[in-house]
Amino acid sequence: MEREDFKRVWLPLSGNFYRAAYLVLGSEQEAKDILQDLYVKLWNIRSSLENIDSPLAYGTRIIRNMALDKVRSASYRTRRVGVVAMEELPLSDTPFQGSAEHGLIEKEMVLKLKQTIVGMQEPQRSVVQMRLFKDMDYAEIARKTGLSQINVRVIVSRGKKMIARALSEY
Amino acid sequence: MKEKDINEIEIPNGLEAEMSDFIDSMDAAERVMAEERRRKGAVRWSYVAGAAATAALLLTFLFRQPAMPEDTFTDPHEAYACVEQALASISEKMGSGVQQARRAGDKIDAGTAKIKELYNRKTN
Repeated sequence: MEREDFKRVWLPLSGNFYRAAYLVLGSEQEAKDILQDLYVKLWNIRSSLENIDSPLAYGTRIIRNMALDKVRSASYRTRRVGVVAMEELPLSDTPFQGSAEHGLIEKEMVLKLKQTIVGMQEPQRSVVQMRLFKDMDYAEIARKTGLSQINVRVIVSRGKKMIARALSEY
Repeated sequence: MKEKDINEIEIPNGLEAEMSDFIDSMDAAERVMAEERRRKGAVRWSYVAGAAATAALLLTFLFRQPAMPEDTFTDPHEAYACVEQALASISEKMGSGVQQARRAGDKIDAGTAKIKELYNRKTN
């Protein structure tokens, strides 16, 4: 599933998912964090989501379980030492901490990518954003920035290498 | 909580835009990493060809047998006799060559003497 198709299906439901998370967590920041975790999960399994009958019901169930897992893990940590705790199986398909499988996106990778781009100097930052986020072609970027196409290509190539180096630990 | 209560939960301003930006970042990170994995995994065929050529050359030198002349004689006496004959043939040819050179030298001397005689007659 391409990015635009994914956004068309799942982005308009962000408000509904947020409310489901807020209902459990009671905190705006925690609800937004869980919402990002949900989108990471959905993104990583997007190829298997094309036949989902009700994206709203599907996403709401997952985010609610994720939020409940978080609440339970937090309460588990505050239990007194010496008390034998019962095993609690997570309700969500994947643990709250997120998948660490090779090749899958993790939330930390997104934050690292953003940090790397913010740390770039102009015009590299603008050029990389135009290429990576707006899918503009080199000719278009060259026209907007006044740089030559070759220069734009070099700048984008270097920017990608910087990002790849920053993400290489994942 | 009732459904009505859920709908009363306020959605933060710009939430959808924020999530849209987040999705764009995931897509960008994925594409950069996929490109990097492809770049690292690509086989440099020029290096493979060079390595194969070097290996082929090394194997050729390692397993090449030095060229040995073919041994045509089994009897040493026979071989010696043949060598003697070859040397005699060479000597004969050299000898006839020396004789020819001597004859040529004699002719030159005779010719020179003639010129001297004529010169002496003239001057006297």
